[in-house]
Amino acid sequence: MPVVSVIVEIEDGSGEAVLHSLAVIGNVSVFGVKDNQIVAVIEGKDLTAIQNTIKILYSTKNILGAYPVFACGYE
Amino acid sequence: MDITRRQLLKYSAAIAAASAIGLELPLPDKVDAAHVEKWVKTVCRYCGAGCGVYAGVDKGRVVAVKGDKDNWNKGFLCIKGYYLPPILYSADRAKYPMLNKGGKFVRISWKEAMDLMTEKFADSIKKHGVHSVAFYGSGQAYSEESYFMNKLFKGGLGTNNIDGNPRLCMASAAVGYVSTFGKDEPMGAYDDIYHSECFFIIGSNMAECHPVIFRIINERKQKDKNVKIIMADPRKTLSARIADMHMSFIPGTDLAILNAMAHVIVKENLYSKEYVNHHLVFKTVKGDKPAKVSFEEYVKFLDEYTPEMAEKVSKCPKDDIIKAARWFAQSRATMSFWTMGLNQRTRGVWANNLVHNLHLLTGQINRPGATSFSLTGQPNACGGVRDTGLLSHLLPYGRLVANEGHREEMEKFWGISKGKIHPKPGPTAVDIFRSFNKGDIKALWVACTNPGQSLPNLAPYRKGMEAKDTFLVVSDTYHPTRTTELADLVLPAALWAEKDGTYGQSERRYQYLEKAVQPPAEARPDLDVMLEFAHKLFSKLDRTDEVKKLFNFKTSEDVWNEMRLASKNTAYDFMGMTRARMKKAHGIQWPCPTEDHPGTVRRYTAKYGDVLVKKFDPAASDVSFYGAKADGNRAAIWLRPYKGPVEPADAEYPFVLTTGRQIEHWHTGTMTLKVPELKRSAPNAYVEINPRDAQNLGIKSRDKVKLTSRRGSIILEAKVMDVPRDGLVFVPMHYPDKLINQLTIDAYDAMSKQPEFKICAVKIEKA
Repeated sequence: MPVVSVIVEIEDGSGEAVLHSLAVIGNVSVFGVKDNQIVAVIEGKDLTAIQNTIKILYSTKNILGAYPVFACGYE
Repeated sequence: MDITRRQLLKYSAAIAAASAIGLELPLPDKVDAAHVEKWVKTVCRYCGAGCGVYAGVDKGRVVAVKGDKDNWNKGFLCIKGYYLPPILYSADRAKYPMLNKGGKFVRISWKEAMDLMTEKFADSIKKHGVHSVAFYGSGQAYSEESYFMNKLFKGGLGTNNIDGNPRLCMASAAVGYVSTFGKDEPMGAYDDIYHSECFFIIGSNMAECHPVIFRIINERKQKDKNVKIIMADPRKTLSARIADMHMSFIPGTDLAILNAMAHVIVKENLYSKEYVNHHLVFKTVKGDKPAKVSFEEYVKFLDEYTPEMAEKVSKCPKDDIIKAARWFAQSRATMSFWTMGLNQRTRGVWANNLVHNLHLLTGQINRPGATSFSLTGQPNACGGVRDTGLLSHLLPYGRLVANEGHREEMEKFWGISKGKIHPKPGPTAVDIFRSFNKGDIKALWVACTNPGQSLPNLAPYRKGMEAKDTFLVVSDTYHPTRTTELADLVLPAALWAEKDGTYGQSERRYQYLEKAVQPPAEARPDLDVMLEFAHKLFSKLDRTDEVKKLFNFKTSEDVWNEMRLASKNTAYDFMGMTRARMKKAHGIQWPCPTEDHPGTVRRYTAKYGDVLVKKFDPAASDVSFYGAKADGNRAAIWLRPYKGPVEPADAEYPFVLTTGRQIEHWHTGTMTLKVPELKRSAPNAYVEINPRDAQNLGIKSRDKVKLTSRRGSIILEAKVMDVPRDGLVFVPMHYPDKLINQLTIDAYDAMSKQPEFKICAVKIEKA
């Protein structure tokens, strides 16, 4: 079961709104916020599920990008 | 508190991400426990950005990756980077040498393979001379491999029949830098992004092709409201999402726009008198030769390039051109980026020169944030091919085949007889395959690249590769590919993390890639195979006595040390980059002449740390374009007139076809299409069509359409989307089952020999 951490880059002043949006995505956990960057971890039953979640992030309002930093659990 | 392994993984992942942005997380105990045996420092295998990566190894397999937070990428990776491990474990890894016997590949031993290969090359040389053999390399090979092959062919055999796939992607940028500044490679660095106030991005979809570099621009835009982003591209790509201005234009007309921007800068007195008077020469071509002209002649040349004229030619609104010129000239610091939109053109060098012109004219250069920066497509096209001189007209570290003095330097350095290096540049990428088609080249070794998919106007070249009267060897990590399927002999190659060596990325940063795991079965590092090839070939040519002198290498570090010596006292000088230092460092930027030198972020400026200014131009107080010694250490502003593409749209073929990348995939897809998740995310080729064009043609999304150029046809699914401008269609280049290069044109730039992949005429019909 892969686990991927991402930095989610958001528009200025949109932190609260984005955190609300992320809260309803079941396999995303938020670990922290700094400026316009959110540290989140995505879990999925496979990498396709994670990929689909990243696609959702990209299409979410006020989110400018989601950049994977760490991935593990390929075994 | 006890935590589960799953929680441990989550916390570890979160720590890695948080540390990348300098955030400390309150975490429970025990989260420091690593879930891998060791982390091995390396570099991403994909684009030329050169992101630092750690490969996590467990039980002899790469099981995790994380970004290197101490490297320039600050721990960030793109979606391709974090899917690196699966490329190693694809079911189609080439594991054994395979011989093509009447269309069927059969496993043979390495001894049989090397005996056969060297016999074919030796026979060809004996019967037809050294120019009957060739090597086609790659901007993905390690630097040591490319340097070695260059030495073997140019110094050992005496033929310049050696070129590489960077000829297809960045030769125009290389010739652009050399013709303007006297030496190749950007003078600036990614660090300039943090200091820039205006970004001029032309012919580059950075958001998808260089996402981690684009992230920094994104961050700058968010943090500083004064930052302006100008995106000049016939497609409104993802990169345009954060642009303040999107300049859309008819493909191939950007030369008129760039000259018009210079026109505005001059007419509105926005140019730098300091640069015009002290750091520049102005050049044109008279007859066949470069000739110096005055600044006044340059101004006169620009007269015709009014914004109105450029609008008429390009359909880019004149007000946008004027505004872009003002932003460019008046910002505190302007940085340009470009990639294939400028380079893959029959006027690619000219387009590069015209971007440099804007920087030189305005003095937007040689200080933090102000620089003219060509992005690179492959991880080692700069360090491994441009710098080592793997291209057919080059010798190592800025030396030229056509320059007698440079040849003599390398002959002396390599300890070979005077006159051994042939004075005539060899055939370039497309011409190597033309010669192979004709049978002039009889034995060809292709390594680490996939020309059976990536060459333009593909059909005739594929036919040539398949011919029975020539001998094609392909070294690859996968089999079959669209090239290995045509080979006579396939050699299984070790991949990223399975061998050690050096990459050099876009900002002159050389980075060491440590070996992390063993290659599968009988796959071998290319350098091992190249060494064995050289020894056996020279034995068959009765030149055994020369082998020790020429190829006395045992490891890639031995080759690296010779490369350092070859760079000594050149503008590339990286004598200070010992292997021991490289293993610890998170990349070092050349020039780096001594072991205590930290590397050079910005070249051509003494004030910002280039120690070579004083070495090559002692009289300079700060700026010196010391690569342009013949021009008094001044850079050149070139008078390059507007010329359109070779094959514009016309009545018979009314659309322009352009090709490029998607964020999920890379090049010919041999790696990314092996990652199931990336393949599922972007499984098939398609054609992007503008909604207005689609309506006129009666085409809807998902319809099957037939695209036809003067060279071939292809059937693709339509995607109707407001990305390409009217009259333009886009097809990704990654898919082996849809060879879009059967339609592209193999006309190339007269100076760089880089083909015009980006523009050819097509027609569209419902299939």
